[in-house]
Amino acid sequence: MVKKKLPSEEDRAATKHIGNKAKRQEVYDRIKKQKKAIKKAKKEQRKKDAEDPEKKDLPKQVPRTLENMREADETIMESEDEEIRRDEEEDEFRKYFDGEPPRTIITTNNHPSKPLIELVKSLLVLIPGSYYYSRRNYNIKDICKWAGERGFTNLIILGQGLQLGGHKKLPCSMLLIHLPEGPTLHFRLSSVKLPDQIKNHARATKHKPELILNNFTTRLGQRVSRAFSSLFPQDPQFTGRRVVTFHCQRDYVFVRHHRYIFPDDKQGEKARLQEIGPKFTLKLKSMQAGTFDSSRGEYEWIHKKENLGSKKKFAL
Amino acid sequence: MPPKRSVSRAKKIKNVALKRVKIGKKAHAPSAPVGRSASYHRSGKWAVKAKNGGKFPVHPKQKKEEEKKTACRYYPAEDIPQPLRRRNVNKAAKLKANYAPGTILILLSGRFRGRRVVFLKQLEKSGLLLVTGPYKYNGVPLRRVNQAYCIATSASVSLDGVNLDKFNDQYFEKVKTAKPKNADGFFATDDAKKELSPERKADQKTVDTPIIAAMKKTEFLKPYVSSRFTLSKGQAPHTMVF
Repeated sequence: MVKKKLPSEEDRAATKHIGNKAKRQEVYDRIKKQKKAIKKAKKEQRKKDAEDPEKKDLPKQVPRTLENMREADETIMESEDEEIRRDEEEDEFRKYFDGEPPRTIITTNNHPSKPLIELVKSLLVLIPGSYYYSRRNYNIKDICKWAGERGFTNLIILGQGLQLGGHKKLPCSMLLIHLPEGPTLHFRLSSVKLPDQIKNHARATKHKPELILNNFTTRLGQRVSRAFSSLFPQDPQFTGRRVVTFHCQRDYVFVRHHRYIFPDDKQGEKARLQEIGPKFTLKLKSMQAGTFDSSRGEYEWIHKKENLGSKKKFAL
Repeated sequence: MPPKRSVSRAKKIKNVALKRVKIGKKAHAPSAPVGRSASYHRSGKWAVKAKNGGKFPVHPKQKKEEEKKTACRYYPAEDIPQPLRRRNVNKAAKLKANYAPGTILILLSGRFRGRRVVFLKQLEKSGLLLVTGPYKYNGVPLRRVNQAYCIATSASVSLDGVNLDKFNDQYFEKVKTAKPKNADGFFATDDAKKELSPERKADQKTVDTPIIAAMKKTEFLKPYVSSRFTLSKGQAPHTMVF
């Protein structure tokens, strides 16, 4: 069904004084027609200008997107701030940034389905220094405690659920807990593509990957990006040409894993990419200070529609 | 509009009634007396009463021993859920007619699907079938299988000299070792491969030896048992004679 556009206030006001309905409609249609013609003429003019070599220097029109219409957030960081730098020096990730090598446990919910196990396998390749332990009904709080005592720095717990209209349990959540002090990040996990499902995918080498953290602008975003970076070793091996990207856009974090190469013969050209996989999308649902505690934990941030209030507001 | 009826409703009811009469008990012979007193006489209750002094014999009611619990003066404020009594008893399945000890079966499910094995006996408690490969021929050890997931063939082996007294459901029960619910339990990895006990190995040998000897007497039985049952294109199992 084609949705009919409602008459604008202005158009309606112009015809409101006419008592006869048929006449009113006639006048209204005429106004509409005129407006349409003007619009069309403008469009054609634009088209002509684009082709005209003389008018090449005219400023190009920029389409309006949610990114460039984004409402200002008071915590968006413009440049290096002394206060923020000091804060970060004292946060939970300081040990990692001082050079402590990361060690990660990957586990799942209690009875993982096959797709989840497949994802775990590919994550073990993606994150160097990660180990899988099967969950076997152990308490998350206990695991946090024990893993912290044994010198693990991160705990990832993957969850699964039924998708709308589906009957298969697929990966749908990720809990990322930094150890031993927290924070605990809860993500919605979606659009999972395993390496096997990616056409012409490469195989990962054992080199330590480089990390790209893209577009985490706010204070919260910065904290999330620090949590991601604490998963990977600080000293990438550039010979491996392996790169893991966490790209944030409109509060969604897109995770990609590539191998790149700079073509020798063509200097200054873009690097060629080959995807390794897996790829998936994360959306932050909540961030908790400290390690996992669903009943008494203190939430730093919870995703709620009313918290943002506007479509043009983003948290990360 | 209701669908057209080929037979009128009244006729249908009549037909059903007639059918019921046919299925039900035979009508009394027309000569038999009809009526309340006559049917009482026929029931023979009067004879029992006469024997017991004009009353039906009744079992004396057994008095329940009174529970010594101190009775609660009040009903509990909240309902205490009581689990339902389970009355079902798991009975062992009956053995199908074409299954006899010594029959060669085709397994249809599990790790050994498609393998042809020798049926030894039905286990009493669970009703599962005890089978063996023999292990030397096709790698199937002494194990229990469900007869619903087997096909019995017309081939068979004699089980003379095979002693199966030892084997019951308890023999196959697994001993579970509970892992401690602590950090060691979580970080423990099951890397060590489980070794089969020497007792089991010896049992396998003692059962298999006379069977193998018996199989050697029949031509082609060894390759038959060591090969797998498969279906190829255009073969329909329901049209086959096994």
